[in-house]
Amino acid sequence: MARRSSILFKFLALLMVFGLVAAACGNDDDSEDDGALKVALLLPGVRNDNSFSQAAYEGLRDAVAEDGNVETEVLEEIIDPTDSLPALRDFASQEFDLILGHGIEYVDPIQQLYAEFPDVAFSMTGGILVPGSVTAGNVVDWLYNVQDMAYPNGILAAKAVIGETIGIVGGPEFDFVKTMHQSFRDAALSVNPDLNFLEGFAGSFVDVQAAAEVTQQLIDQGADFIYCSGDGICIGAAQTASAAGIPLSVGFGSQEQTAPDVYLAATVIRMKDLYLDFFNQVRTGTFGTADGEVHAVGEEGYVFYPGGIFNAQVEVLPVNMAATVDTAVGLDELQAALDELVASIEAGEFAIPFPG
Amino acid sequence: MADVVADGDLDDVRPTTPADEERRLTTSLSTSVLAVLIALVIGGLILLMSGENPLTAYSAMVDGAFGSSFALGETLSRAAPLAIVGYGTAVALRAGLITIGAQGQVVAGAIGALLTAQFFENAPSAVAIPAAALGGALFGMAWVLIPALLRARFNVNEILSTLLFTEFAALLIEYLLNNPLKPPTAITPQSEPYPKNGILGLVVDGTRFHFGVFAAFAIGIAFVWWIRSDRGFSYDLYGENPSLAQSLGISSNRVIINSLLISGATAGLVGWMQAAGLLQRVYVQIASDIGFFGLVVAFLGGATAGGVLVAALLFGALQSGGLAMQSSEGIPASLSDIIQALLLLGFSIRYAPQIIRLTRGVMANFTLIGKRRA
Amino acid sequence: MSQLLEATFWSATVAGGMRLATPLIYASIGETFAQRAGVLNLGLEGYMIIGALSSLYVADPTSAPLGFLVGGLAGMALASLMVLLSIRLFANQVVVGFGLTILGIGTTGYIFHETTDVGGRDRQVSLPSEIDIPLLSDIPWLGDAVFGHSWYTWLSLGLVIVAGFVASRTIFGLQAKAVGEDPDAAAAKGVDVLRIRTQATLISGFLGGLGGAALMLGSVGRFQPYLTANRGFIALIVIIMASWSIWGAAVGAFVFGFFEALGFNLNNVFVDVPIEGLNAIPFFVALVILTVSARWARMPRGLGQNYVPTV
Repeated sequence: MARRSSILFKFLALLMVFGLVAAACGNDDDSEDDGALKVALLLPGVRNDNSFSQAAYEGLRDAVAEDGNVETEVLEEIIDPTDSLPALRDFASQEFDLILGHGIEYVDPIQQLYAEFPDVAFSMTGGILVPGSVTAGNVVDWLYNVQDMAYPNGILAAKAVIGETIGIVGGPEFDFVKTMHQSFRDAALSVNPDLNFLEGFAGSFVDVQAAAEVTQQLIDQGADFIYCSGDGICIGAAQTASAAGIPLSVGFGSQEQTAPDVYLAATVIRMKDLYLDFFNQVRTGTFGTADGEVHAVGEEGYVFYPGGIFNAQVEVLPVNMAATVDTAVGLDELQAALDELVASIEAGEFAIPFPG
Repeated sequence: MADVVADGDLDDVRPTTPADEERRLTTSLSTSVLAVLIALVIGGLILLMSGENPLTAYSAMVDGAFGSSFALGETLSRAAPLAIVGYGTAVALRAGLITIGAQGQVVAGAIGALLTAQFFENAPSAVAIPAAALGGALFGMAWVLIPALLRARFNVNEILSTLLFTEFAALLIEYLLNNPLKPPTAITPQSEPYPKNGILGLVVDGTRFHFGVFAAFAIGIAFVWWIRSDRGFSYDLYGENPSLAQSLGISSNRVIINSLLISGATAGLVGWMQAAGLLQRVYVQIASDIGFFGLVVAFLGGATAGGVLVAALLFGALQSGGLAMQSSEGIPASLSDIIQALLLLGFSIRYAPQIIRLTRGVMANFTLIGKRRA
Repeated sequence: MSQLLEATFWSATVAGGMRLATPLIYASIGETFAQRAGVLNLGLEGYMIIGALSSLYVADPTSAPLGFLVGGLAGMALASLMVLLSIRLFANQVVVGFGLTILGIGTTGYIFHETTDVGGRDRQVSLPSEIDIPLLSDIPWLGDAVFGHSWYTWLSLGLVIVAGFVASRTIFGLQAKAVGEDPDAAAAKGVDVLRIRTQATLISGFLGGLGGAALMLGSVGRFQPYLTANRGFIALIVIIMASWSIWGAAVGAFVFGFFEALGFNLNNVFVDVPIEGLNAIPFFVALVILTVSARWARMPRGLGQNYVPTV
């Protein structure tokens, strides 16, 4: 016992020595202060997930290109709650001006950190849903309307489907996933009350084969249209729908590449304008609560930025005109139906109801 | 006597014979260092090929593990649960049982701790904190009870049954956090905040070094006491030679059930620590990969008191450093995983003569080729 | 509930079970060889995911069969680290296995990360068409479910026959078993323990890689990080459930796949049962099978222990 642990101790000592040497050699490239805004983005997934994380990545990339005076750092795959606080803290202590925590996993750590770093602006996602969350002079809250990622798909599905059965494929059975499915059903039934629905869950956001199999089962049970509410797993749904010649629409991100023949449309999140707005607010010192004080959820003064079709933070992608799958009405007509929906929302004539 | 057993190799949770001892190759520091250096160099080359400066990357890693009081707090608060799981797993390993279910028991422990803490929401902290710790440990124990009984009664393989119970725990926590334990407004799985009166305070402000970390030392001391006690010795004996142990009157069922229950209780305690100390809320990923890495720590540390502690510290450092490498150097998580995996593999090697012989063999082949060409 | 009385419900579930079983069959047969020889390969998940990525990256510009083969070779390459570290350098098998799983997931994630442009085209293959067995696939109800599958499934069934033969009828197979039971005794009879273990581990790497490749090319067609979603560990469950028998592993893989598919399907039958409960079905079945088979199951006695030859 003594022998081995002493060896391991020496290991550790050696590693520390090595590290100190390395630390002495490597000099931190502290960028000179050229007035550029330093922005950090934390993502739960990879930047090319074709979904929620990619939306933020692209939004930041485009916003930076338009702004021209911003330095960015992007940190991907921070989904373990044990990791999110130290990662955020590292950015905050590197004196970033703005930290975008793009995911509900960053709400708690931002709540724990913001007071310690009053000069750093934090944007969190979905704090409004977490009881006790606060916004402050350096914390704001953003969330998209989940129903906006499903309702247009439901309208599309009801118009496009030949038959009366629609299959819905989800990842894990989370509340927001169930909410999306319900909104999808509400929309489809508003067009055609005779439709009926089958529903399946792959159980996770990564198990593509399970999603493919769930989709196949729904098709075998008679589904004539597939709506996939997830992201990466929708690759499986798209492949299966393509093989079966069944039309498809997607909640998060296009599957046009996977299934150019059957994919019809999708909804995506667009963050660019909000991020440009944030850059501006940080520069002019208007970021955060109006009075600079702390305000909890439900209080007057809580700073919440909702996103949706109404402010173009959710975009309904154009119908895939190259699709070869049979649909009940022409692709042009589908596009017209979606355009009409979006126009009525933008004009303030219609708001997609939150289901339930 | 206990020391004789404790001095065993980490592979020898199985019976060993004098012949084994005789041919056991000596461990030398130089090999181990060589192996880690090779891992560092390979990792460095990969970093270099990816356009990163290996020295800056490694220094960011060390900095993130030891460079500040916050970093040290991170390393300690990650090492402590690994050490505790490691000790619990080591108890089972020494009795000849390979339980890979700690992951599920940590999850169960977190649920147990949360439910207990919610029950004692209005009690003074002096009651609520120990009660929740006990609740966590009991849930962890409960989660291994069926595999333990199945193994004792029907000789059902514990590697598999504990793995299955890990799967059940993952599904259970997903269900609970999506339904009964979820705050009504939340749309992703998580619990209500952990009750304030049950939260473990910080040892050093501005870090995550909480008082729960000391549980690792307590468990470490208990582990030393255990392996030196008569009972611990009899369990070791059972692990080494079950039939001999049985002929000496040691009950097979008792060894199996007790050592698995001990491992379950420690893993459950870790669930409590993570919920009440580090995260102060229960998430689906509450166990991170502590259960699995705790197992690795137990093996790497040779199921000995000092070995497990050092291996846990190494792992804690590797994890906090790996994360810092991402946030301060912009290195993708996947690349950081590669570096961590390489270092883990490097640390796993402990025998010198083979490396030297291997190098010699390769050299010999080269010389041969050279000669043939000439 | 009425769906449960319909033959199509069950035939769809059987077909789904076979599709889900296909990658598991490759992986679990390979791992059975390794474990029979005494090597506990916890790196299986790593072999599978690296096989999945490599097969796609080769099949996309060339052809699926070539990609499939390369997937197997990639798994074997990762397994050669297991050979080097655990078999030749006596590092602990559990530690190295976990290390290789992390290495495989990290490597594939990193390659995908670096080779994919955001918003650009991902590498992709289209899924294979079904090959129906003539006549048999025309049997009503179950015919198409059992006899209409892609060549990856047919090949996996062929593999079962070959592997069953190799394991029980060849010198290698018998030596592997001897080495896994009692390496000292085997060595005393002149068997080169390390060589046999090396071969068995490489086989498991190759078949694990093929399993990942079959998953990728047969039912997914495009890469995502963590795509194998613990199927490597499920293959481990299958092997132990099958008591280290090749035929058993194939049957076990199907049983697991069948109940997994059943869980998916029952979601529309028992609407009120939470999905987590349905997803637990295959694991629960595995526990029952494990308990029942424990009477006669015997783990290779040398499993997980390194063999250090007398110098």
